[in-house]
Amino acid sequence: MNVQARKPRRSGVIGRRTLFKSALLVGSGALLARPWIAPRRARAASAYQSEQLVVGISTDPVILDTRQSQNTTGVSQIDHILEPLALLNPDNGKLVGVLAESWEPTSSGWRLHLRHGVKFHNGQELAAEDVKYTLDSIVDPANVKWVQPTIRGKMQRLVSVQVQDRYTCTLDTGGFSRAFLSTLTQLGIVPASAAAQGASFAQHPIGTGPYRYVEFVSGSHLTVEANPDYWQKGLPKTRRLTFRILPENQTRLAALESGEVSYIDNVPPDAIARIKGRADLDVMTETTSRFMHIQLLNDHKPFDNRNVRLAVNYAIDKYGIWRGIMGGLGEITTAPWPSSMLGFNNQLKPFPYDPSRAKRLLDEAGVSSVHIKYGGPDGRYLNDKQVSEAVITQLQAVGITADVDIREFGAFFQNVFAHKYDAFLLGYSYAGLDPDNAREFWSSKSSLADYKNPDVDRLFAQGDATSNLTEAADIYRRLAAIVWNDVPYAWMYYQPNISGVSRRLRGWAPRKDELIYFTGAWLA
Amino acid sequence: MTRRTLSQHAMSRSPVLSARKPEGTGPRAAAILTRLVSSRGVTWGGCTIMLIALMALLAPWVAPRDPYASTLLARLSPPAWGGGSAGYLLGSDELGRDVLSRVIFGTRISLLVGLFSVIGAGIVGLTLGVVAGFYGGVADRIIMLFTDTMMAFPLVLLALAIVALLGPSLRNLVIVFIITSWVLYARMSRGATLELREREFVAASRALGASDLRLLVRHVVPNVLGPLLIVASFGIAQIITTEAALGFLGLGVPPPVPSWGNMLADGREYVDTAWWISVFPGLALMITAAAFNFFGNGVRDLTDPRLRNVV
Amino acid sequence: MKGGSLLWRLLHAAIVLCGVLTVVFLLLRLTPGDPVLLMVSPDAPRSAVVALRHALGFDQPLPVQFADYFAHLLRGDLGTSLRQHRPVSTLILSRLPATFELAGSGMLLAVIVAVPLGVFGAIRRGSMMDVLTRTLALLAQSLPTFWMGILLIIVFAVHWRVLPTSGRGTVAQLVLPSVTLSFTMIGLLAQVTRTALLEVLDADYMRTGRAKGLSNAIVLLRHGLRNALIPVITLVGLQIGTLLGGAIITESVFSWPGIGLLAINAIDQRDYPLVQGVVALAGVVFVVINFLVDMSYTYLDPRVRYT
Repeated sequence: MNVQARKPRRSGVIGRRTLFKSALLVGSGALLARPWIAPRRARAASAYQSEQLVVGISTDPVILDTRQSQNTTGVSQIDHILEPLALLNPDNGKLVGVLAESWEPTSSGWRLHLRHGVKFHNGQELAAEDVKYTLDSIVDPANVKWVQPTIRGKMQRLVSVQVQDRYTCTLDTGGFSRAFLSTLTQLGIVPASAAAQGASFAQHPIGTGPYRYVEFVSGSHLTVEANPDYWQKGLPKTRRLTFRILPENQTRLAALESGEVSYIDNVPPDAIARIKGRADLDVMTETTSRFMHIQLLNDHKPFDNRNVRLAVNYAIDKYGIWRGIMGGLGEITTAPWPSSMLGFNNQLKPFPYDPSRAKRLLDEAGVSSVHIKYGGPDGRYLNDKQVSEAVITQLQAVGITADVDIREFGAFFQNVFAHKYDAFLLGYSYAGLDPDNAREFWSSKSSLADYKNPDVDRLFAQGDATSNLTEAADIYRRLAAIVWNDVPYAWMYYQPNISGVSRRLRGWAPRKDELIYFTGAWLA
Repeated sequence: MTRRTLSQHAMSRSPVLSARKPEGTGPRAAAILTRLVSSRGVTWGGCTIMLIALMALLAPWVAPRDPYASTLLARLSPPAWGGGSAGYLLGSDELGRDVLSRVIFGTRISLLVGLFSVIGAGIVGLTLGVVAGFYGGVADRIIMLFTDTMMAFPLVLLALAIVALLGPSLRNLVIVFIITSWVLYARMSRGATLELREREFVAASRALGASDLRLLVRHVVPNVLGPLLIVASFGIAQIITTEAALGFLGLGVPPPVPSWGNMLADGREYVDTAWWISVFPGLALMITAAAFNFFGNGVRDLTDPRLRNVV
Repeated sequence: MKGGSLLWRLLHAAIVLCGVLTVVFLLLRLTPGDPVLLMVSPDAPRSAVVALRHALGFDQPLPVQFADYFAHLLRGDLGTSLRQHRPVSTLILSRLPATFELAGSGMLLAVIVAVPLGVFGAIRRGSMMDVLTRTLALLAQSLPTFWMGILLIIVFAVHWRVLPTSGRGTVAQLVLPSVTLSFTMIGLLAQVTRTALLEVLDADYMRTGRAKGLSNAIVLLRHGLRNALIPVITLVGLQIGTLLGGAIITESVFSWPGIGLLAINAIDQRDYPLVQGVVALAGVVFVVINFLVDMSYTYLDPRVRYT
């Protein structure tokens, strides 16, 4: 293959081989014209502690607008651009004002006083009109195509928003609702001028947050740049922040280890040793308010019998699962919600692992061997598939066999809604860190497990109607005891929030509410 | 003769090849060596396949432990020679289940899915292909349009969509594979039938008064089966690997069933810390797929040289 | 005559494409799975769900939805993604270059490695090297792609730190994904090249060429390769399916923002318009490639032209 005879060329005709060769040349030229490595930026003197921070996250925010986003875990990223009226202090459940400086209850709702001098990224100053537009757009029936149904449902109580003056507005919820404010913590305020754009506002969101939108490629990355006019002086500390979207665990871990990112979320417990073994990396954990549990359908056999549900609580080795699969991180649930929240009941006890007691209860109930339909998600919660598999094995040991269906969360959740399972794994979190958030879980109208207890309904209504926190705490303590002992679920553990960080990362700490903020973070 | 598309050419006969068989192709030693390798492919491939089939049948007796039994305290223990215990020869997985037993039981899933899919696709493809090739005309046109539509389909997407929508289960997997692979068998059968149709023995049988069905069953089908077997062999290898891929995407046989795909999907979290969870099922997968590939390759080389150009 | 069959070809292609779109529409609508429910989280009230379903038109009877869909399609409107609230066509177009880049380099790598291997095997037919390469090719075919990808990441990106782990933007980030993807094709491509060349080497006109006094190499290059290319090109055309399948998995492992990843997420989320859009695109690509391959075949083998 070394000799190539020259072929006499017919004029005007380009030989096939030449064509092929030139195509190859052009192609490789185009490819090589790209930089082999990313070019270095010239360092300039700046007011920021560091120029660039790249972090790896496991879920895609998808839409950069809290009114439209179906992804509750993407809220953290959106919050860097859009800010809510108030945020919760995850350690004590108290509201901290962000865009709203102060507030007071009215007879049928709340009055908000906005902070002065806050500017949107387009230079406009924040005013009550913007809050009015944001809230109105959610309940506006013309927007039903793009407003997320859950958020719409939360705002259903809202009757009207009245603007008193430039910085004051009143929210009318048709009757006083103590917990309504906590739902506002999940809503990013958008400028009233966004009305013209409707849904496409999300393609270039304008907010009041510490960072301005630069670029978002769904499935790849979100890049934001510091807002020089941010109302909190001294923040943010990093000029440019990039969220790299890396859903694959191994890929995300590898990115941290290779130094491409300085932070990753959702570190699987089994990978902790690997990260800690590195001198330049560390692992930080925090217990969240997300409680993992097995929901049991309360309205038909076999779980309509409380003793059968109790038996399941004894049959599941939550300690083994917690130690083995969760690496001993997080905590076993001892009450329906954690101690940082209002009305925590410290008198309740978790059920011990006692399979023989479980079998006895089942025999007494007349169901010594039974076959159920079990469902579980895959990839939504930490090691959720493993947890499901462990639970199934443990149930089998006491005579409860199952048809298993483990699948991607969206499809799984559809089946949950359609009542296709007798038992399923789920993890609820208290998004507003308020017991009233649990109304959706346990009220007779909306419980996915078909749990119906009129006492519980009554207590929920009472707890929300009072503005006296001591009174509310007492009501919720009673509620907690009832729900716990009714065992509508098999209670298990609070999910830990495990993050991998570079030791150079400063100004960041994990939060109990699963939110991840880099506003005060920089690279040393 | 009607103008056919390139793919149709490739599927039936190669026009590049001259009508007669090649003769005196290179030194005799090379020819003997090739024949040896090919037949070796058949023997080795065939033996491995039989071994795997035996393992699948006798799994409950061959496997040392229950593939579903999970001992959380013993999770992630290494293989016996690497620091683990003799109780878990190839180590244990993330739920403390024995890897060796799960690999052995995995042969059942892979073979079941592979066999049923190929048989199903083969039956569908054979029927449609023979009908199209034998009767020609309108039936042929319609069936060819149908196969063209299927071939234009991004089959992987179709497989994903069907499994995702119907739900992952053994039955649905087989359905998906049948739907996505029958086209190849149809094309092959059609091509072979077209060729056979012109042969003398068909005309002779016709003259003797044989009915169409009799002709098809007794003469056409047996001759078509040969090449189909080769394609089927490659098909099983591909199906087994695709099942693993679907398992990786969470759309395979539902856990906790011990399929190799599931094990690979679980093991991907532990590739660096507990390599044994993914290496052994990966090896088993490769060996099984290779066995079928080598077998098919060997049979093809040994039997019909004309088929060398058929993809 | 050529023009007439060209027209028939195009018509044929159009019919096939329509068939594909119809099947996908039916598939998505008839199988159990309500996309509206997928768009809500545990605490959404039923009334909000009903309102959304009505706004999206999913409570209309099937034939109405179908007619609506096709009407939009003819206008070039592929609908709006249920999840991302953006036009499907925009989403697809934004992700296409990434997949082209990956598929193109994967295919290129496969050809660069496989064709010389195949040619070598054909020339040195029967030798130890030939047998070895054939065995390796067959083994490569039996290897699961995603496994290969993860192993590559661990070795090259974590242990040796010579290449990045994931993402897209620099050439370095392209290396591992395209190597992984090329593995799906190398085995088969090498085999087919080898057998195709073998056939050609035995043909009459080759011996004629040799008899005329031309060296083996020239005969090989001028006549052999060109004719051997035919089945190889056929294979390349037909393997688009494998390539797409491999691309989906590879994109998933390396977080490569292409059509494959888009499709997986869309299917998981029952994002009907997006899935339909991607399938329509894939169908168009297949039909076009098939068409092109046919045309090139006509060019390459004069015998076919007059068949």
